[in-house]
Amino acid sequence: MIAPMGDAETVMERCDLLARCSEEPGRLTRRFATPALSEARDLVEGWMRDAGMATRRDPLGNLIGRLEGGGGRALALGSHIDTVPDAGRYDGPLGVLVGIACAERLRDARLPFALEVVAFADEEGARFRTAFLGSAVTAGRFGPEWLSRADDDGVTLADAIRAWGGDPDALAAGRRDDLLGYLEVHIEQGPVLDRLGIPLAIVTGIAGRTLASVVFEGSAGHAGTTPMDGRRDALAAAAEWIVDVEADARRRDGLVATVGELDTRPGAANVIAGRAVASLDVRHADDGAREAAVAALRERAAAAGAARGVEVTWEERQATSAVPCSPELTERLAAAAGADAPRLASGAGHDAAMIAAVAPVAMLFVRCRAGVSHHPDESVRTEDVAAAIDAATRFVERFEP
Amino acid sequence: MSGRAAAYPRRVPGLHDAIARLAEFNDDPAAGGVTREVFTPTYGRALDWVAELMEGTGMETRIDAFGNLWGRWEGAEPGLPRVVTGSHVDTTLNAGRYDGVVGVLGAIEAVRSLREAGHGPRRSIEVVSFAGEEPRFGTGCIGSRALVGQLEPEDLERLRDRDGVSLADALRGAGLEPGRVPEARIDPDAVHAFLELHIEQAAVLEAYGEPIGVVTAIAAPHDFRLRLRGAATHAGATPMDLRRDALAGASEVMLELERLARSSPSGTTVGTVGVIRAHPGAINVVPGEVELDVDVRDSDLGAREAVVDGLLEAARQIAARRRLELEVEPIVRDTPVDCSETVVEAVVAACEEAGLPYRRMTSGAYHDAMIMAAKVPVGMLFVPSAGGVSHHPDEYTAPEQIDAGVLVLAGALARLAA
Repeated sequence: MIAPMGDAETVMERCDLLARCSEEPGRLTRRFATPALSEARDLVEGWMRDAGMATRRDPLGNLIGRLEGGGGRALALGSHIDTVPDAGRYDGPLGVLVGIACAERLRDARLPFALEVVAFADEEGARFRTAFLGSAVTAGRFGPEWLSRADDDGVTLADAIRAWGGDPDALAAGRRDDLLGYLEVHIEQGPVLDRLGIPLAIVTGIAGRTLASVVFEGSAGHAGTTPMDGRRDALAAAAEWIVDVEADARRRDGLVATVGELDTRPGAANVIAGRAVASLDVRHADDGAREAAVAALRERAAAAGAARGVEVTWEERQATSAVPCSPELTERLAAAAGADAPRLASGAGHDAAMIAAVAPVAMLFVRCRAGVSHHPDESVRTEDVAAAIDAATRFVERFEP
Repeated sequence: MSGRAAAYPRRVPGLHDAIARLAEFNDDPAAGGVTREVFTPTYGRALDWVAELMEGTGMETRIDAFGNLWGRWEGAEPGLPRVVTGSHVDTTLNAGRYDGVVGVLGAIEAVRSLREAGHGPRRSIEVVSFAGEEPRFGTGCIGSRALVGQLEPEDLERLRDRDGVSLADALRGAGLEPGRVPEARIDPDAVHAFLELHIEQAAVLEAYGEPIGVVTAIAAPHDFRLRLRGAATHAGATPMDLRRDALAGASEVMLELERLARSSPSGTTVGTVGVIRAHPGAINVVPGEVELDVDVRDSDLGAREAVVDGLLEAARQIAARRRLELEVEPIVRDTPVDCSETVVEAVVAACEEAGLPYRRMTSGAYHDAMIMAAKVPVGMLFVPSAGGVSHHPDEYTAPEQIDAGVLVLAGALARLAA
């Protein structure tokens, strides 16, 4: 057996090697079904075989490595190997490579179940703007209507799947009803562990999410000649609401609410904004708490508008329920990770949320520097990766089907 | 077109037809208003059309080194300081059809009517169409600034539009040479007076039922750009208390501006943020950087500066509390202007001769006249704006209201040029 630090170093080196598989020179961009992703998948497949696993691909192109054990059903570890544009190198690949490191350690363990490592081919959705394509196939939740979606070059998803060797007509066969459980190791993508100075966290669940567009409609007017008390300034109303969103979210434990986009029209320095459109992203691990917050923020928007004669239209674009991790697997993971690992809800979405439809899931977060993610500065420590491999290996060793 | 022979008389469209036709030079008709920013191809075609109109009215035309269009009606004593009138034909985004246009096409109509009446001025009268009154490049009135020497060579590179095009490149695109911009400067001693006809862009004349506003002072803007930098982090994974949200900070700044302007003791201060950009501008990312363009105006310089100082102090405190970096980029800081008594009296006399009631008033909007005032005596007259609406497709001044303004302009020009 390789020394513990040794296989963490291998994981770090492999993250570096995968980072070279990119669509663009000088920065890491690896979207679904691109040559860069094929290249990365080939590397991962080789490492799976080196760890003694048999490999196969499902009809979408997800890569599965399998170490046979007793019984036909499998415990799976995994994550995704696609990236956002100009990405960091750990978001996704870390979970796959930690899984391979576990398999390497357990290759001769004769487990009473099969151990699989899954490398999902699309989680970020950067090419077709449909996130979780890979795990959706595994969970049997792939929408056939997605196949006709086109990327920016007009290539449909169906053609992209075919072009890289998959079979868009057989995706239903990718559904897995034989999984005993699924563990995903992932970087936190937030600053909590870095603040606490702790390497690992146990994820209690993946937050539910509401996305909305809030339209403030006032009246454009001349910035010099319209007195302050004669204005219907859409941007001023939006500003009051944005401050309210932050203040309200701070008062609600575990809630995050973000206005990330703000567009004003006509958008000239000497014209009062007649229209402002703000995006809203609200997340909480408890659906009731999220819905209560959304209702309050909606009232706040109406009040900010009413104070200025500005009409407010609320367009809810998407609402997804929270996905709790399996309490049983989570307790086992907590026992495997050690007493000091805090419990966090994941504000970000992950493949585990999809897989929860067909198997009990658990997630382990690894500290990343300053919480930076989706950025080339994404960074994790080798010793934290070693801790994650140890915890995941103990989790698998002690797993009882 | 410099030196092109003026063939007069030629058939030209009437004033109101001309206003309607100029509105057809439009880069965004689908939006419902007029978009004709300075130095665009559409603007260039519009300017050519205006030049033809001037020539058809017997004026000799030229384009100066900054792209300002001039039409000249030579007086009996061409050596005397001349009388200048005019405004601008560029627009802001999705604007109306009267702002600026009335002052250019109205001036051409005033010259036409004076000629038709057999009037022969002693001083030459020139009609100018200023290049770039609206702030495509962040700063307004760049055409008149070039005339009075308020544009430095480094400004031409520094000033950029929202797409990052520099003023220098825009000039080149319009066939002008940035290095020659200083040649556009006027000799102040050769200008007797500048008089600008403009729509009011406010509802005071409408409220009092008066057809003419005689402007005695012009409010001036203090414009600057604030840049707040925090950290662009994951909207799901970053707890509220660990964020450095530049947009939330910018929103606090905007509310403070609204509060300060509303409570300004002058009662006439206005403060506006019309443009804000949040980066990276993604639904699932906390904004890491925000730029906002702040515009504060008043005819009372002290009251205006008190609001600006208060806002900058508040912005510094907000930035410090939120751990944001704050950067302040100056854009423009103009001085409010008192109009020339000579010009005001000429306009008043023209109103009285025409039997039109008038109101002495301050202009809340700035105009090229405010810039010209740095070097020459200026005045302005206003015609009503329906509902005070301007910089908007619904901007409207009735034809008979414009005719009244042109009548007064012609009378005042005749007096000033006598």
